[in-house]
Amino acid sequence: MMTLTSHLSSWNHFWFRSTPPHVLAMFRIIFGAFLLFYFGVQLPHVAMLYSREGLLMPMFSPDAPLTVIFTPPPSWAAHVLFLSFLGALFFFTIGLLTRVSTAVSFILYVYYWFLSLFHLGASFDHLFLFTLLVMAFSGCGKTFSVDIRIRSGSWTAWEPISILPQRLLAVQITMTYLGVGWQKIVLPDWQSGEILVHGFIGRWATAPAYAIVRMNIPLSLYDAVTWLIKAFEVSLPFGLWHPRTRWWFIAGGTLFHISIAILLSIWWFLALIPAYILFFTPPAPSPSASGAGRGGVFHRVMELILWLPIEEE
Amino acid sequence: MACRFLQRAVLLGYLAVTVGALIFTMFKVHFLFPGWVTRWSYGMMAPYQGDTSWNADFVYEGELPDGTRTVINLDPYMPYGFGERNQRKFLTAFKTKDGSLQRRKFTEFALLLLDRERARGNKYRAIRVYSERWDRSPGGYAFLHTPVFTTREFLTQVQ
Repeated sequence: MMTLTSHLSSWNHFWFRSTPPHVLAMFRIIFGAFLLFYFGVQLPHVAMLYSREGLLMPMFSPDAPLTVIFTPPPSWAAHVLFLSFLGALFFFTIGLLTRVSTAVSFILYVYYWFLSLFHLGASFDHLFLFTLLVMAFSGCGKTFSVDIRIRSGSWTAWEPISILPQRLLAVQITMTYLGVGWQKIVLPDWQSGEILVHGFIGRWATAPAYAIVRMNIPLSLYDAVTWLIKAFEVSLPFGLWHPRTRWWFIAGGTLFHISIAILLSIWWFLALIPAYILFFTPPAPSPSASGAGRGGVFHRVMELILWLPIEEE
Repeated sequence: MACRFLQRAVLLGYLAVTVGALIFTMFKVHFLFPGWVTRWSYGMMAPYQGDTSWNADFVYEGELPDGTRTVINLDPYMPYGFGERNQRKFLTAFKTKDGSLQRRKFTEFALLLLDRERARGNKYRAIRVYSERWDRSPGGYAFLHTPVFTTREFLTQVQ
């Protein structure tokens, strides 16, 4: 029988132990590149999206000292701010002044949220903002980064970090899938396959989705797919945590999000696919394992990829 | 020591908020925390909760000094993908139980548009805003967006 002390020890081991920073560093690079793409494609439209030339109605009326910063700026200022944002995201991605660049990215993302993004109110923006906030305090720049290259002369040198930020992000993804799946079980609209039919001919639908509906597939098949989606979303968070099922659920989650992107043009959740790496538990660091000059970046990444599936829980 | 305490405080705070949001998700019961905290966490668990069998769009109709009316194309002002542009036009971020704020925001939005259009040299005397609704069809998004199948509701007018 486990004692209270051993429970506490397991709790601390799960949440607070030191760990190599490679998982978070790899996620930083992929997530940073994703955000750069997400916002980079908006660059030609900054004047309309984020300046007073567009039709902006910020969340707060700019009538008090705390809210006046949300007055839509002139076009030139909007461009300067946006380029600063992209610059901060780029620095975050390559790991240059990582903590500062992550914090600046987060603050400017919050600014754009209050200025305009809240109109869509998208779950992915909520998730991305939360992720940036956690990453700002994570030490994700402690390997595979310009920072570590400058400090120790090697891209692959590393310093141990707390596992807490990685756990927080993994738990958040767990809760996201769990909440979404649970809601679909009880929400009236999700009790039959009609929701899929309506979605496939709605505002988000793409040509392949319309083509599927035009095939006149029986509604019972849509019903079955709806239940499959609900079962998958509820079980996904558990499947991702368990080493034996993880790769199956990663494959399923990948297929799921790619399908959504293709059929409903909702591509932002593709960022969750690389986030599955956060469910892998890195081994405890040994003092002799860190340090500079242990092979090239490619070698280290391959080593990490080969290590991931055979980790010990 | 302070760092360890802070880490534990952050973790417990995060877990409490997240459990609160999950409870809100499951039972629609608010749990201890300020509404915006729960809503933010809930917002990470809330995509695609429902759908409709109809499509809708909003028509901003400009009236010129000679009395003629033209539909103003909002696309240049809203350089988003089709789905996002359509969804944003609903101004659902300002939705309240009685709908009064959302209606005021439609007026505010129309005033902004009137201002921008006049700056572009389009001397509209007024702008009228209508909501249009039609049934969805496998034939395409606007397949049934025809006078026979479309219902139109007047929302507001600015000048």
